[in-house]
Amino acid sequence: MMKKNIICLSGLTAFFLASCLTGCQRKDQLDPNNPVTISVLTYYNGAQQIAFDELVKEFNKTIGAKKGIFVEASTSGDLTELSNTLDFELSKDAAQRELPDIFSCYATTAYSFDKEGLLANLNEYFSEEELAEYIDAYIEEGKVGTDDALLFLPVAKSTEVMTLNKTDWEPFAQETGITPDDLTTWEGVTASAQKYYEWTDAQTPAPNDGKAMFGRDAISNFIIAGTHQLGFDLFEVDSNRKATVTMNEDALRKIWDNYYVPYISGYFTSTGRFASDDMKTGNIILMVGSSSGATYVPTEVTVDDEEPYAIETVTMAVPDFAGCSSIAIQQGAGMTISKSDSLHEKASAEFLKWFTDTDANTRFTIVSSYLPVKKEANSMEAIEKAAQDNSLALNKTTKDSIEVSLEECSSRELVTSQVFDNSGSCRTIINDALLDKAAEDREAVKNLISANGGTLKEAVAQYDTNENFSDWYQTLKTKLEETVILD
Amino acid sequence: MIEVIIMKKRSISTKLAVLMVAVALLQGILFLTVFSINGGFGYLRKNIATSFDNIASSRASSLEHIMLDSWVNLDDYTDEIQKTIDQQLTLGNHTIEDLADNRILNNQILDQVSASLIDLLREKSTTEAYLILGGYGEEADAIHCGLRFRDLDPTINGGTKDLMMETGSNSIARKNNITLDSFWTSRFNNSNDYLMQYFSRIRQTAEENPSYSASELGCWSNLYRWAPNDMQMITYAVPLMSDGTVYGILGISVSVSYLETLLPYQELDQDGYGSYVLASTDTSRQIYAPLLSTGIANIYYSDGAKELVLKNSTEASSLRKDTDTGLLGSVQELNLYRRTSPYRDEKWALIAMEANENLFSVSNQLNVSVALAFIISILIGIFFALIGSYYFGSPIKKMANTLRSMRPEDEIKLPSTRITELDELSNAIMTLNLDVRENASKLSQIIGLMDLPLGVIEYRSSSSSVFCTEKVVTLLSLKPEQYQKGYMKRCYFEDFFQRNELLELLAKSDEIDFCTENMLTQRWVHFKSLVKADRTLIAVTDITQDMYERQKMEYERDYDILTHLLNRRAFKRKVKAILTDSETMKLQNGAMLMWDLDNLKYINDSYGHDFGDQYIQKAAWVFGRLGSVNALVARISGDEFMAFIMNYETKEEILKRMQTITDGLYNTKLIVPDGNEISIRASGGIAWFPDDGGTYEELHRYADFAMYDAKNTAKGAYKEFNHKIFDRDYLLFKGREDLNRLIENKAVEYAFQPIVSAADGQVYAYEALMRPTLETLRSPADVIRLARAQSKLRDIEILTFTQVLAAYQQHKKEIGHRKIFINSIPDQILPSDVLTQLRAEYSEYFRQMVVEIIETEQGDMDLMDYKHQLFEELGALTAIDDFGSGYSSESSLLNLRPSYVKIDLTIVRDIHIDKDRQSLIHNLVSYCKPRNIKVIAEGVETFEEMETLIQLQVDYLQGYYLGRPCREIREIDSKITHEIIKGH
Repeated sequence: MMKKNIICLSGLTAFFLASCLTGCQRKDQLDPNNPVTISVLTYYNGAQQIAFDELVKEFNKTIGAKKGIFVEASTSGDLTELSNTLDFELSKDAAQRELPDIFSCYATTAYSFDKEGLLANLNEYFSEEELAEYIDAYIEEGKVGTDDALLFLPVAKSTEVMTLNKTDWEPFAQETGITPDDLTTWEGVTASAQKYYEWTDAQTPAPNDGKAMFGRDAISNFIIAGTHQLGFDLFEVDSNRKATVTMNEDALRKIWDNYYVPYISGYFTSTGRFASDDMKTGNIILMVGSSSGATYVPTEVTVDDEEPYAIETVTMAVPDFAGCSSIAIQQGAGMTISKSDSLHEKASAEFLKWFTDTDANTRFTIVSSYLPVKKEANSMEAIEKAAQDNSLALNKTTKDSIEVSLEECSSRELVTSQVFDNSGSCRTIINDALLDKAAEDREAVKNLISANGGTLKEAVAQYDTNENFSDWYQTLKTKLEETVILD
Repeated sequence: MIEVIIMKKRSISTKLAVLMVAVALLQGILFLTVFSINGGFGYLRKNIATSFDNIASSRASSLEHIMLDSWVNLDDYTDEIQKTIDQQLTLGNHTIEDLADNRILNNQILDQVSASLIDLLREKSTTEAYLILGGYGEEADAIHCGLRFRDLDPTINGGTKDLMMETGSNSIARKNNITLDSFWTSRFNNSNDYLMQYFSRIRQTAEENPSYSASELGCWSNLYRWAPNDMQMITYAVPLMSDGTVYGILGISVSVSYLETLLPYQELDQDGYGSYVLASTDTSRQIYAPLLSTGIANIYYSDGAKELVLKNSTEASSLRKDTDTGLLGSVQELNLYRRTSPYRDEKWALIAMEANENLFSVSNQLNVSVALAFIISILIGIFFALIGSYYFGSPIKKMANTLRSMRPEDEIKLPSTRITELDELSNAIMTLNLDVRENASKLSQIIGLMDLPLGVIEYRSSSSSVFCTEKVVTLLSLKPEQYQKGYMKRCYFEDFFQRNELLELLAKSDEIDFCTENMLTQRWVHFKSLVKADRTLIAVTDITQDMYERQKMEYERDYDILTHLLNRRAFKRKVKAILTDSETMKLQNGAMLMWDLDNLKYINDSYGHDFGDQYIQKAAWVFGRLGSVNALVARISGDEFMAFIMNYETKEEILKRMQTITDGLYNTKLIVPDGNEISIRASGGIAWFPDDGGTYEELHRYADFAMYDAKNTAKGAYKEFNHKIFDRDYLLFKGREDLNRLIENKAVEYAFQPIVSAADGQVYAYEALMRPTLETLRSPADVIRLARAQSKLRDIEILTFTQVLAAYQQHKKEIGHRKIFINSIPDQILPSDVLTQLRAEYSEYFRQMVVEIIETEQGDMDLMDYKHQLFEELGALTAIDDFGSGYSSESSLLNLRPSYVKIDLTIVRDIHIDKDRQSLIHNLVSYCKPRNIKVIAEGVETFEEMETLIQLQVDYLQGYYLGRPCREIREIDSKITHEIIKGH
């Protein structure tokens, strides 16, 4: 009797074991015969997306095929879409979430995902030696997890550069005597923009049809870096990544004076998706944008339905506030690995290792004018050599952008956005608070002029007031204070 | 007994194991049989293929639905746009031809239709919607006015906020609040060859088929990019026509990434191994040109880089197989064109693909699982079967092992097996063991009490240890640390036996005496072994004491105590033994050597026997140096040594040895009390073996003779045996031998001749006369002669005194108060020790003793005087013998003043006739009487002589007439007594 029981039991155990053996074997190790598919979601578009897709294909055909990893890349098209998608996923119930294995993200995103326990700790997949090959500051930036766990790996880095439409600048400069040296401070940019508006206004008989000189992307960068440069960070972050708002009115006033005021005056503008779009349509001739936007820097300008004309551009360093030491914002989304099973995580890490390694990484960064993330790759010589080795065209704009970026990164204090609870939301709030307010009030100013027929100065004066600033300041402060304590 | 139990139980456990394994196997087979009867895995495979097919089919229809019903149904918008265009043309009095080169007109129209186009994009949920018009004339074929809007996330309707203008007037964008995209251009400026072809094909086809409706002339493109860095798309465009003239193209495009989201390959396989390939083909439906692919197949089929050739597969009837990659595909055709469409021959298909092993992984997995389950269940069955049998078998095995590991002297303690039957068995064993132990301990206690020098060994070739009693360890001087609880490690034990060449004992029953080699004590043991089938019993007895005694005895028997050389007997035995085996021993060039110490007698006489002994010892030491290897050295008698040496290459070598001995002797000095150094001197003789003789006796005699020869001719040297001389001097030599024998064996007896008183005819005294008992030496005269020749007179003297006194003692009763006359040899004095001994033994007899002295030489008077005094001191009297002959003369009578004078028989002879003799005796008697010297007449043979002597007043008479010497003490004939009395 007992014997029979034993045999029955052993039969069951055997079947269980056998099923487990055959069933489990697929999930333990990478196997070229049973490739694991990992999905990568980026915000890349344009040249960057194409370059990335090419690299993914290359990976799939080489290392991926050899190791049994198949990477499926998709893009949300831009960073905002990506943020939306990710936020959407994050808002779902845990069971419903469909996270890609790898996705692009910033420290703030990574931090909020990690709070939900959704990200893999990259320290488990990257050795000390491997991490040491990356530029230390980039790795530091990725250590936003609990106990400084590395949550995302830098894949491409950028800073901001300023691009000048030299072709359209020159007549103005010649006539007014303004030089590019005047563009090294924000105050100088604001003053020059006013002169440019006035100068263009004078070109036609119609009043108040002056053109904006300057536009920029990522207003939040301007505020964050600007306040930092002025000595007052917006937030103070404690060790638990809790922030307190430490806004300084004077610093914000300076920001206000150098964006809001020129904006409502029509000296600055922002109508396209990117500043480069505004430059492309002749709306502006000076812009600050990500150094990675070099491919978007226009080579021709189309005004209205006119025939496009070719322009020459100059890449310059981003201005500073007068009297402050130079800084440069350091940005560039990294890539995180979502927590799944060890096989997927391992495969994802393999891909990231390959992708961030000097060869692939440099090829990727060159076409998109990003900066590579490894130490050995971060020099003009290395980049030029990589371009040459891979027969990649390194056009002037891209090359200039990389050169200026490298220069900025090596000579300036690098500033990154602070990471804390809800820092992503705060960033959006900051961005929109100034831009929306400026855009809104610009329309009001325009309406005021067209309605009342007053001068620009008069119209602006109605908005360029202490009260208006204070209102805005207080509103922003309150909003931020509410946001940082949100769960 | 235990062995038997184990064997039996083993077979039980084996049987148990076999049975259980059989059951396991049977169950496995049953399991497999039932499984295969139920349809096995074929059913499963078919199901999988069908399911795969179904998924692909439903995906294809949903895609077809989107493409046909949603995307390409542009009729409403075509009409609307055409209407708007018509209106605009009419408004500005333009014709359709004006569109070709009037840019302002084009832009006006575009401005008007932009809203429709945005609606189109929104409604169709495609990535892009575009309208291409003219504006730049025929010559600039590639440049057109147009509008193109893009929505990157077409599934979300975000108003115009998420729209971007890709192509078109900046003002239209601003008007519609649409941002410009990065690749924005104000007009279509196609440098893309494919697009050029594609659009011109649409134009051409439309113009060739003017009767067709726009929707019938719509056509799908392949993948393309608007700008080199822009995203990949496919597009569907319809021509805008007026009177057969194509003036514009309206189209939608779908980005590859959007399309990809419509082809969720994950649905094909939960592990993500499925792929979708969207491909175009022709009517043959053999070769497919992939447009795009999702999933792993992307590696092979992206960018249409590779053609797909599909054949029927053997794996599943509903599936087809890519001949190149081996992937299985479910081909689902998409009916993109109406049957009337000029493009109807262009077929698209959605192919769901997956590798065979992945698709059927579940069934394969199940296959393997079942096989594994079968194997593992059998293995587990076997495992448990073995465990089970082990479970039953192991307590018994353990018990057996416990028992086996125990020594007989250990108390058996068996652990509980928790199996009743086995525990009973072990209890029984334990009880039995207790009894046996008790008995055994009694025996060993008894042996212990006896303290016998007896040890016992039990050796088993099958056991790793050897049983020994404790005594064995002491007896054999074994290492105590190797001994534990009555057992000795077998290897150590065997090693010991091998070292000492005792292994024979283990092999066969035997007895061996063995001497243990120990630094401190030497011990003799006696082994007696008894070999049985599987063991050997050995008794070890301590025979050291016996051995010592035996050795001592042998030594005392064979060795001379003084010199520690062999004695005569042992020497003889040994040499004889050697000579007996001389043939086999290949004995060659031997020699019998013999020495005689020359000065021993002198040393003894001069310095006493202690020095004599030293002298002998020193000599022996020199002789002993001949060694023992090829020589035997013995002390034959007091001053005689013998050696037998052998196996020398040549005689010269032996002679050299001989010389060495001689030199050695010479260099060995004895320091005597007076401070002199006396060299040891010996005469030697050599007899050669085998030249001179082959037997011990021969060699002995010849060596002796050679020595004798040396002694007689050149004392202190040695001589080789020489036959000629031997023949000549043999007799003398022989006598010497006899004499020696006589002395040594005390081969003398004494006859007593009465000395009768001439006054009363009664026996007054007896003279003891020597009678040698040797056949070869009967005459006392010869004895004396030989003794004199060989300087053995003193031995004779000693012999005489000791023997006579002994005889006297023997005949004391018969002799009574009568005196005994003893013949002392002139110039010989008894050694003081002999004297002392004699005095101690016979002091009371000295007073009845008369020592007859004869004068030999003139100069011996002093010696005679000394003797006379010596004996007188002893209480003995002296007589001058042979008076009247030789040297015994009146002077001795004068000097010695003896108590008796014996008249030599030459004077007595015929005295009754000869007056001279009568007067001589008369004078003597006259001289002696007053001086109280009694006169005895010897050699009286006749009555007349007796009568005459009585007449002459001789005191005593002696001679054959009166009585012959006789061994008994006899009285004289009474007739003679009468005659004497009568004679007065």
